[in-house]
Amino acid sequence: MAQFDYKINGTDLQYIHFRLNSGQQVIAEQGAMMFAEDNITIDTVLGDGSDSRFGVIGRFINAVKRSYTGESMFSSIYLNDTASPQTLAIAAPGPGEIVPVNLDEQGGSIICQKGAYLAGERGQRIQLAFQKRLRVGFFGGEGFIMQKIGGQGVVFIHASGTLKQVALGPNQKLKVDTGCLVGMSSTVRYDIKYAGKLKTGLFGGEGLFYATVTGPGTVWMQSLPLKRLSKILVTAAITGRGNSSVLGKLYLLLIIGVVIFSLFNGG
Amino acid sequence: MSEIKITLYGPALPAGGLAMYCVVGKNEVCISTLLAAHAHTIKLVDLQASVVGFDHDQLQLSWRHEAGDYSFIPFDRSEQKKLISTLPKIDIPGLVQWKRATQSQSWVWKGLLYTFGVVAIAAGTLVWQYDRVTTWAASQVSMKTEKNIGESVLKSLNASQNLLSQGEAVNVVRDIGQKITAGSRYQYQWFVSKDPEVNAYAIPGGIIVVNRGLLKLVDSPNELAAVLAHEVQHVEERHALKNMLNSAAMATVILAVLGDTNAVVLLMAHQVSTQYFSRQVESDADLKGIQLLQSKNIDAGGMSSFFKKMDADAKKMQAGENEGDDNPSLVASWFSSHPDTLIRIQLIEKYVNSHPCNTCTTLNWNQAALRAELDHFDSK
Repeated sequence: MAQFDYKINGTDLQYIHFRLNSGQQVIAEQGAMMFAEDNITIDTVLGDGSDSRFGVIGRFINAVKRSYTGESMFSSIYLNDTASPQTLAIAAPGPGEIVPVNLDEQGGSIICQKGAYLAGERGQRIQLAFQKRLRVGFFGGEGFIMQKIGGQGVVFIHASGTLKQVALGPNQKLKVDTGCLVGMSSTVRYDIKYAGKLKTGLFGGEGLFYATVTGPGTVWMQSLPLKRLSKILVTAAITGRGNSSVLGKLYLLLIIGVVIFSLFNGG
Repeated sequence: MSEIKITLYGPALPAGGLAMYCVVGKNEVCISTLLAAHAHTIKLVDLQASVVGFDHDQLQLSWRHEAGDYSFIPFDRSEQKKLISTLPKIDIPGLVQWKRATQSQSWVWKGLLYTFGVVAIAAGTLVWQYDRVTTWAASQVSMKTEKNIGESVLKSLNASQNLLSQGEAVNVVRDIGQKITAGSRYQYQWFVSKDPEVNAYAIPGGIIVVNRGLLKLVDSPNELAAVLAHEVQHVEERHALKNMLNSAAMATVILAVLGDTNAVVLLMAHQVSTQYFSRQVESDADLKGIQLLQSKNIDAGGMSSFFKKMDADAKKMQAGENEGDDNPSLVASWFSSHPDTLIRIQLIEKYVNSHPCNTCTTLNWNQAALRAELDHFDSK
């Protein structure tokens, strides 16, 4: 299949603008479409649309497994079956960044956090990647279930915050805050390390554990995990105006003091 | 020498690596492609093995180079097996640790799986052999404890209703009861309650209470003996203890499953488990009661005749024939704790017919004195 002609628009609230050639199709998670030209036909398939050895039941089980990775059981296929190029726009589900990943350059598969998959080429498989390491599952920040995206061509992944891609050489290590990891190629070793010192663990603000990723391969990290963002927003929503500074309060006290003082000494 | 498909990683190579072949020699590994670009020959002693991959099950062999570390990883699982089998028995640093790490990974999951399996089987066996488990648990309770429980129940019972421990009615009950329980490990105490309900009950430790209402309904000493034998078997088989253990187990399961719960739920569970329990236990006490009677050469025909009388009374009450009765719920109360009377009658008759007792005799009692005392109660 020919490469997609696409452009990612926007900075923090992005969407992908596809120019689909004749016969080209895009598969995307449900509800992600922003707009499509009238001649694009939209179809719904079970799971990622791929076949299973066990027929319909196998496909259904795959779809259920896929739904555990933060995706819906069905996905939408957008096909241009006209002769002329057509336009399609797929929007990100939340604030953050969309990153195109060429699976051919990543050894055919990558492992992402739950719900990272946004859109891609037909034939790519979204599978459940189960974290077999107990401590990583408990303390790694990503839980026991991640998603494995395999196949060929470009896949678009999405995560909140700004995404940073780092290529790791053999045995090259990176410390990552737990929860900031978005994805990695399947050769990357993902582990957790105790923060080392109790002082760092308790007061370092990063928790008791760091995630470590070891090359070879590529890792993607996000600047603001959704959990952290939602925590900030909820706190702000509950406290009203966000956090007013201590100095501001002191200033207010001073003014009140001056007013009271002037009341008694007025006249 | 077979070629093994690998992916080569290193400085100035794509992040996703390069697909290449490797051939393992005696002292070195040769890595090459058809294009002969990025070809390497590395001495085995310079290699370092380490664990890579999301599942921590891939083998990476790396070596130092002046531009940075290089490494290669077998293309897939079968290629990895091939590589491990072709590696000569030279001590590659880290290879032993790699094997141990990948194995311990599977040990952890196997351990978890087996533990889960054992727990599941144990729970299954417990449910399956539940009766035996409660019987065993009840047998672990000492006679002294049982007696203490019985005494405390008796004390609270005495506070709420007046139990008679002497008098003509008690004498009649005791005479027949002692005939039945001769040689028992329990020391029985016999009481008559002034309660007009048709009921009799056993308290752990060998305390048997017969209600006045029941004494009025029995027509022959053998009927009374049958009722007493039934209650005696509740004591001998420790049914009340088992029921207590049953309720405790039920409460434990509910607490474990629901976490926090309130008294109402526990009370309902107790009710349900008691209901289930009583059906089994009553039939059990019936048949064992007949056996007890026959072993003491007492005719067991009183059991079914008494039940039939109860059944007839119940039917009469349902048909509304005894509206004038001052207390129509007398028999109903017995039924609530002793369900399925008809089925029980059938079971009893079947048992008695298949186990005839030729040496069994009917008993005697001082009916006149009993009636006089019961009438005395009524007049009070």
